[in-house]
Amino acid sequence: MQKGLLFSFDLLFASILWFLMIFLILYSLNQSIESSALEIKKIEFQKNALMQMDSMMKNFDENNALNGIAFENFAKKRIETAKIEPEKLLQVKEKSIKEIKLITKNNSKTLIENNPKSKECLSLQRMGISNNEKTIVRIVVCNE
Amino acid sequence: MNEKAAYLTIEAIISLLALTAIIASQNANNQVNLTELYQVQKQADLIRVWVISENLNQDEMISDVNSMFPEKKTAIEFEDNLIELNKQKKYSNSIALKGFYWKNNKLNEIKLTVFN
Repeated sequence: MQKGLLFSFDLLFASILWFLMIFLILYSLNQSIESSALEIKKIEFQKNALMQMDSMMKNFDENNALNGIAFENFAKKRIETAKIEPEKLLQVKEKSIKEIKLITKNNSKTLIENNPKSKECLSLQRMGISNNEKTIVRIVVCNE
Repeated sequence: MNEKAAYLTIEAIISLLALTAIIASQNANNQVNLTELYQVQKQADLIRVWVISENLNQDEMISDVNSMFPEKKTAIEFEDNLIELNKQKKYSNSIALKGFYWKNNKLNEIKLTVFN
């Protein structure tokens, strides 16, 4: 009887530790999965914003300025490197865009200003040549 | 208390802790950082703009770098010139980008290095 009681205490002690460890492992796994999911969402937003901005600087799209503001030389049938037409961004009606600003050496002009609901915003800036002047296009985009 | 059982429990705890540590460390290594890609894009912009500008004006180049990479240690190398900005800043890694252009029937190189 006494030996059996001792074995039961062994088992109880070992079981408590086991369950505690399993609970802690599952809890930490859950935490890490949750934080990974958030991180992936954030990275995806950053990636999309970066790619969109890059596409905008390198392509020409007369229907959607966010897809391309590069200067297209129709005579040469090609897009001219680094030359941009940022005024086209005035047409942008995307609600996730918080701000579009053009900064030149002596001037700074805000083209668009919105108030999106999301607080998770990213400010990106790229440089190009517009009207023979170096121009920084700064876009603040928010995760909808 | 049974001594053998106690040893087995401690062994189990150690092995589970090791397993947890391995899982946690793998998760931390998988994190992606897009800031370097963004930095390369901005560096490429600067090099393209400078190459198109033809006349490389050192003051303008410094001002351009300051507006795109404020307060970062930077080096610009072109036509036997070396411009260094924020020399005293410490860094752990750097990204260098080169561009090439024709001038006076000669292929010239321009290199922009940004230290992080």
